[in-house]
Amino acid sequence: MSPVPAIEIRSATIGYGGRPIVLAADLVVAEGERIAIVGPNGAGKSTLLRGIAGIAAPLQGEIRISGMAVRDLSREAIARRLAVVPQLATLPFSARVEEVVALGRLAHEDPLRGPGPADRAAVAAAMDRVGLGRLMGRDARELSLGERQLVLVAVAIAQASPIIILDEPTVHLDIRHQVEVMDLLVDLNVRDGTTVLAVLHDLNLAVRYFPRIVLVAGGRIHADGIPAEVLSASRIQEVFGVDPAILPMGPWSVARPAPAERARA
Amino acid sequence: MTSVPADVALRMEPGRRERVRELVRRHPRAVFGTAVAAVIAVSIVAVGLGSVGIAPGETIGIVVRRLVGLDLGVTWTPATEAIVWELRLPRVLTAATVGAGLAVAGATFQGLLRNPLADPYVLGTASGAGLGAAIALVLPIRIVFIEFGLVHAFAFVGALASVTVVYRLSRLSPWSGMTNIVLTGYAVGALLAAGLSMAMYLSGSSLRQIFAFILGGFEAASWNRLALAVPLVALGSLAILFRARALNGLLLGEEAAGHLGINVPRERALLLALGSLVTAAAVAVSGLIGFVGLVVPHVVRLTVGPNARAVVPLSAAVGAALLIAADLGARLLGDIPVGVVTALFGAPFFLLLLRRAQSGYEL
Repeated sequence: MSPVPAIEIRSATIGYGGRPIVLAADLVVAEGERIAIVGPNGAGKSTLLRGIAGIAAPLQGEIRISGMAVRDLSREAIARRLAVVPQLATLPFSARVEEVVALGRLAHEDPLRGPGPADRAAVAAAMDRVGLGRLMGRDARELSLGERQLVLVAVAIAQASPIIILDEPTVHLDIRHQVEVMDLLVDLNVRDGTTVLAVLHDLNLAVRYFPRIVLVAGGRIHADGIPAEVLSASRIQEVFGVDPAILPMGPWSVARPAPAERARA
Repeated sequence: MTSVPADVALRMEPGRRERVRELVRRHPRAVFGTAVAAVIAVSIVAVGLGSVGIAPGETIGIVVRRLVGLDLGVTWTPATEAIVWELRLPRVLTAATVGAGLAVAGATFQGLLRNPLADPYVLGTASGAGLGAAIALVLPIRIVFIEFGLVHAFAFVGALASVTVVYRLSRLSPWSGMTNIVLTGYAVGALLAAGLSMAMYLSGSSLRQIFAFILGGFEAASWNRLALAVPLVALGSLAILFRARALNGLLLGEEAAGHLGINVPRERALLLALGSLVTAAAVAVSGLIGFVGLVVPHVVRLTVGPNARAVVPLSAAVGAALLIAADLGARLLGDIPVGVVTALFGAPFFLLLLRRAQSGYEL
């Protein structure tokens, strides 16, 4: 018997108010995979994530997580299987970092009595893992954008779901924190067996840290496979409209726009 | 005022002030206990003060005897008993109920709309209730059923009807923000306010009564009216407390709350209905009392943080104590409108608290 895939998207068209954004997408993610989703702005990457998370319902086709149709699951059931790190969140009132991270336990805590010892332990562990210990007691609204992004990652880790989905987890981070978050995702994937699905704009981070890359363009899954195949120079040219210079760097290659040809694109 | 930390903190060095703040924040249950004790203390004082002074011992003796039939060995005259039981106690308890209800509704709407400027009246409740009351006063019909007149009924219905209209008109999509409903609330509120102004303009001799309703007050408090407001406010507030998890999730936004396991469309509709019901019940017995619903939740959050599990019950207690004290002030100053007192004393206190808050209240 073949194991049930963590995420299964079968010819799903996803959109809002009847307007399709993602068209007839097929994607199967096995448990324990680590996948980067790349593609130009407006390609439908976020909509794809929202479809998987049950925020946008498929207009056609089917989306399953752990073998169950997302549309049949309660929000709580989805949250226990799948954590989502949004790009950014704003707080209407001041809240301490640990109070924000504790929100990751909403799907686990007793609805009436609130978090118990296990929940508090999970929050402390999540803060440790992301390196937020030093921010304990700070008002989350006073943090830098990068620190806030780390807080949101900690929320998802506290949620302790077997699948974690991240929408642009590194946009506001400096290069050191980018590497730290990527290392953390690899660690979650390898050590905890968490299935990781991350939308990334930085193709080099995607190539460097993810064994499988899904390229989304124009609402369709354009390519899906190992980095060297998916992000070839010709395909980057075709999808992003930029002539890349692929520079070999040790075992990886680095893609950047070729300076001389930039004007042409 | 029950906010022990701020009051105490004023008199202390920065280091100790910090530690007290920390202590208070870590023990919301103890803060809640203190606040409830303050409500009882303020109630006893409020029953005692007035044109006829009544000793706390007498008040306690009368209440204990009436409620549990126990004789505490205190003596009092029948006149004293009448003042306590028939006049002042229902008034104090009505103020407590309305204060608790408005504060809980304010905390609910602020959390639900993710807007620190929200108050119980933000979705047109105030103008709806005001217009309802004005229509009842202008109509040449007088129906009174166990001390409930058309005014109360129309105010209650007007408040709920306006929220329903706002909710229907705003066309919320399931995961969008609530800006749309806030703006719809303003628009519908403005429309109803125009109707209210027109009714006042045309009201002739009823103008003073309409104006008294808009300013709010507890002069007409009675056990019967209290008996109708208490269950609505208490059950509504309790139901809101049971949805504290949803309010907490909404801290991070509608979509994030969904990812955290909250059924946002359902919880949002429930909280909106409950908050409106509590507001309508409070408004029907007391008229439109401002400020309490806006300020109390902020004061509470500044002391115990944003967790709705602590904010909702503590807002109820602080709101109750605040409005009993404000009504006492209004009574002692010669029956001036209670809304004037809440604003006159509440606003400077709130300003002081904002200046002392650890972090700014940006939007």
